[in-house]
Amino acid sequence: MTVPIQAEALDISFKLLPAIIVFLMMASFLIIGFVFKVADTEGMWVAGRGIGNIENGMAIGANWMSAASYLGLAGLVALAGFYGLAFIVGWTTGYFVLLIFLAAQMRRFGKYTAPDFVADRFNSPMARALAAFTTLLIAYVYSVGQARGMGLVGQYVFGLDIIPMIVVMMTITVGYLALSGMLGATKNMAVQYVILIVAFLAGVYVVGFSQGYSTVLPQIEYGALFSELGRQFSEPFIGGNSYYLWVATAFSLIVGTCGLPHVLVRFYTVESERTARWSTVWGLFFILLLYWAAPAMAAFGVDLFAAVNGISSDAVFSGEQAMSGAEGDVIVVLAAQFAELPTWFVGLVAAGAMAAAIATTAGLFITASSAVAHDIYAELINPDATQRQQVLIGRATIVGIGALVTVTAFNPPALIGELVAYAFSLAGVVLFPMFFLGLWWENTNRQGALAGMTVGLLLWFTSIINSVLPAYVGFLADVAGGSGQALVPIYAQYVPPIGAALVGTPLVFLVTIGVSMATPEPPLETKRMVRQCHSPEPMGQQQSAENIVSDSGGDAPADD
Amino acid sequence: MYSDILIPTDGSETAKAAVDHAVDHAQRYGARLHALYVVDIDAVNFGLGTEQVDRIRQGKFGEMTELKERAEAATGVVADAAAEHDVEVREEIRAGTPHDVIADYADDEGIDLIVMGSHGRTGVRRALLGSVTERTLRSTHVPVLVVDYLDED
Amino acid sequence: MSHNNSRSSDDAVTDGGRATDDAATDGGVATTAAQKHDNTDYLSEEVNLLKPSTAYMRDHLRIVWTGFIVWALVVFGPVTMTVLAPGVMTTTMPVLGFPWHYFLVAFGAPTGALILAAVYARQRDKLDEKYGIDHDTDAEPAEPEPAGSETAADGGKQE
Repeated sequence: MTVPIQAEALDISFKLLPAIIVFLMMASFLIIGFVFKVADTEGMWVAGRGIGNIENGMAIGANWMSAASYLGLAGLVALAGFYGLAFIVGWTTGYFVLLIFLAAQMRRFGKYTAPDFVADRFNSPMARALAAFTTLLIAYVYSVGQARGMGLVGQYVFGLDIIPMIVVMMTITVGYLALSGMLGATKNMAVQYVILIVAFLAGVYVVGFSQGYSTVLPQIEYGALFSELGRQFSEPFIGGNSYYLWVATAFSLIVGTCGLPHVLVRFYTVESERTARWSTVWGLFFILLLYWAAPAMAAFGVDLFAAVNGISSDAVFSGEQAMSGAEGDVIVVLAAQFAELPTWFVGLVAAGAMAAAIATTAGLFITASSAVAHDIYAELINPDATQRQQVLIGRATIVGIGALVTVTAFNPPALIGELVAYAFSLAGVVLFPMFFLGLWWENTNRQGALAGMTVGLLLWFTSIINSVLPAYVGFLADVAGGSGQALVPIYAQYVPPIGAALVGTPLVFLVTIGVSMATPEPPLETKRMVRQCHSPEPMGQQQSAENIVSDSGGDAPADD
Repeated sequence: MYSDILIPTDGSETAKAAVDHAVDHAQRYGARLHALYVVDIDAVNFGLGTEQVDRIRQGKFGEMTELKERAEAATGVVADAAAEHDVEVREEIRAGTPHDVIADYADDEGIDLIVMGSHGRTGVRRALLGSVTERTLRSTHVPVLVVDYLDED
Repeated sequence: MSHNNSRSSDDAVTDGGRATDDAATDGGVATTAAQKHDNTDYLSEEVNLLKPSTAYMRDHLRIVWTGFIVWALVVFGPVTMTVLAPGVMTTTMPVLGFPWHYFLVAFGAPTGALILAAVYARQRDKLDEKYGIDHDTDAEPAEPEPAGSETAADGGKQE
């Protein structure tokens, strides 16, 4: 893990047509974003045509079209067999939990950012600070996964060495944000989704068809391939990937889905709770369009890998010529390459991956910028902050986090999917309990929230330090007994960073509930805000939970 | 000479420095005063996230209480000063890129004079933070009166 | 706050404006779900995940918990069965060729979640119908913003 990553099997050289395709894709996003920005906003007072369920659903889908879904998922399924399926389950089924417990209620609470929610629900600037810090950390870790994906796939298109490749891609991303920060606008995301899903599915269908694996439904037809794949592709619980790890990973990803700041804020733009619900259903459908097909692509890739390298199907998984981690991470592109499809087509698939990674990173950087410019600076440090100051701080944050992510991605500790999963487990341990308890138990109070978030952060940090850092820090590796070993093996086994939420989330729940019960109840106004989030009475167009509570006779919630 | 005077304001002390001048001019010329607050879309984007920009574009600014209150407070300062001098005032809230919106408003509403505060920044701070006033100056042909905000100490 | 509702702030019941001596709120008459809903001041009833305090919440939580339990079975059931009975679970499916465990997990779980999600959304719609809640019209119309009723974003107050 300490040598620069390289996907040996990938054809690394500059290819003109794919490069043009990449630029065309990025240009189209840019233009849409620009048009969105300059379109007049005189209609800001009059609720015009709202965004429909399908369009919102596509935006939710686009949110999920990151390097992790596009590349990392197939990589994990290819490399880790049955354990890889934990990622499919974890990154899809979590939306149901989000739907039944959080989506509509968040919509009614009606704030701006996740730290805003935490601050107002728990009457605590300190809680805001913790949530903002967690948001930054999530954005950072999640983006490192994207940068890794950009670098690996970029090599196919541009042919640079991995490190310059990452620098170039990250510079493009940051520059992209400078030109058009509006990638997160719903219309823009709907377009992004369409482009990316077409690129991905085209890859699956054409590879499947050209190699005779499948005709119209590769998502089902790849079952026939199993007899030719090594047993490691499907055999359960091999190689240290125990049942516990499977469940812990899936659980972490599920609760992480429900705790990610940039997922939840999407519900603030929907018309009503009904739209919130149906958008989520559509969103899950659009996500599944990729997730149904990804394991098929993995299967194709594994089979082709064996065929092209002239090795047996078992040798793909172990031994000298096994598929490396980096190769797994780009299996989606590799499969197309192995299938000897025209370069422009492989380039299309690669371009999709790069666009996905760039768009996701841009979105995460905006989330990070809002955490610093709004939550930390304007709310906590300088209440008189002007708009221009916020813009400056936001931009500075983006440059800063961009640099940090770039440098970390030179030598990332894990595969794309794993890196992103670390971010999920952080969200699931620290933020999800706050959202859930905050919305469903009115007695959750400030002390409980602070205690819970602190415990959650500590747990996640110790998990990372325990399992990940020894690979980087010399003396830690010595203590651990060798690079790649954990400091405290039993802790690493039960609280791995990838699945920390299985232990972490219940623990944070217990701490938050316990401390809340042992300390004074929150003020009545806060409780009424929570009740408002569950009241079936439709809110007027211009209302948030806080408004309604204040107007019906209470005082505005106190800020401690 | 002047029948419609525009005073853009962002609620800052700098902007307030121009209020007296604007009100005085309006009184002397019997002009209508327009108090304009522009919600900076970039600030919403980087500060609150692109989803919030979406919300504004969908016409839901009314439910974004904190933003709305800040805007109304800023234009309210002008309205109060105008009231004291029996000057007719119109309060406006718009969203977009400030200097563009100001220039467009001035053209659309037949503004005869724009009165703006300026921080008078120099050097690095000016380069980083920029000046809406300067950009407005360059975006419009309407006469602009720039009132420098000078820190008392 | 500059923002008013049509209800006066001392209205005890946030029921959308029905007068308190309205005949429909007369106790002792069997009420339909919709009337129960209109009589409920949701802001004074405690929200508790485990002990719903209003009729609406009871119905709602029933849907939620049923869905959640099915979801847990669909998501974690197959993998648990695989660890308990690996021999059976890894046999190959007829026709499609997947090992059962693989298919149930890779295809069954996500698809099941999607179906559950659609079912949930549908059931919530039906629940809203039962209680006479309509999201498309504002039950509590907000006072139009000074600028909101005009398409020109005129926030002006004339002196």
